[in-house]
Amino acid sequence: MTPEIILGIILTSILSGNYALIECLGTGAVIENERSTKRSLALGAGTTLVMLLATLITWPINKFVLGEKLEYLQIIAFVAVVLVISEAMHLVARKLLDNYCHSHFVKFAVNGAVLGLCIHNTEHGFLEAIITAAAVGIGFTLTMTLYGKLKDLAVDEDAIPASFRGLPIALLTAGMIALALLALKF
Amino acid sequence: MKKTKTSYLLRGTPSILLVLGAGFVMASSEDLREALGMGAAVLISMLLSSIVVSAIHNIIPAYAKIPAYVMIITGFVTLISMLMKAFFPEVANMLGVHLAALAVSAVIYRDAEEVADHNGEVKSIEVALVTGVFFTVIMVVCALIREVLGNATIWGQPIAFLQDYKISALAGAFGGYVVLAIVMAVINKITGLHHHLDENEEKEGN
Repeated sequence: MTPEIILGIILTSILSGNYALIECLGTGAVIENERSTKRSLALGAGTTLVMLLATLITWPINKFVLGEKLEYLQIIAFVAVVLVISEAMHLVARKLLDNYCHSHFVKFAVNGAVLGLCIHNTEHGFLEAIITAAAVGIGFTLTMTLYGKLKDLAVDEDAIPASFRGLPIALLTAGMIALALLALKF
Repeated sequence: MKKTKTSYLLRGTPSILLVLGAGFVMASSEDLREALGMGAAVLISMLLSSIVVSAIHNIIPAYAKIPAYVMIITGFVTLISMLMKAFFPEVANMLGVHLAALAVSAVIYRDAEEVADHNGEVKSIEVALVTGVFFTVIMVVCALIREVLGNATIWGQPIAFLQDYKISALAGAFGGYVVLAIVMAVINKITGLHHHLDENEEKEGN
């Protein structure tokens, strides 16, 4: 694996293949984020760790245990692994995580982005899967932080038509960011 | 306000649900067949998990509720995924990883935790049906707009006179956000939902 390929994986996972905005996995967690930059970064780091650990465990499980014969058990096995990892992290750093998350960390960490990543990674080699997991985690963290920061900006509510206030304008904003990221697709 | 099925959808619930389910709504609204497949998957998994959770919620200890509910939902999603691969392989291929991601969808989990966990089977089935149908309708409407205008096809069949006028951006991720935002704004306008939200916010502020 050449440095160019590694750089390509990292840039794609963070930008043009961003899980939350382009792949539509874990989008809810990003759009609803109203946390401060510090909290968003901390929670993103936690989710990145879950992604890395989940890939470290699910990749060998898929390769050596499930294979093609037991492929139908993939979703159950992967969800169980992600749940165990999230619960273990919550046990180790309960106070810290709940403080940053404002709710139960497990509910936040067990999301479509983590599960989708584990399933996508079964198509790659082990090293590539690990790099992808780290890069997707960083991309997820950056998007969540950026979106949380956008909510802080002073916006003239009267300038937005009444029916577009709330979710519709949040979706349009996400769409514009998605369009900007798609422009980086070569 | 009397809590009827209509009021359930007027008390700001669609906004909350759509935020939580925005990912799979946008991902599966590129094609009409995909939208109907995902709609059926959401409806059935939500319905079945609601029935099971409302039936056994009393015997599950509080500390085990999150993993138990997630695994119940995952079991049903696996079942639906297997059935879809067997009977509708084309739709299953189109949905790809998003069908599996339904297992950890916040919409279905929220329904299990906030509705089925506190109510009997009848109420849980009622709410699951309303929510499932709501998502199916939203996805079908978005898919119709995106497939016809973005791909110039309907149900996978090309529409000859639209071939030169298709707006390709609507078929991609950007189109998913824009179309869902417009559909949501139309719903807000028709139902006057933003007025309800404003009133609720004022009450909460007080």
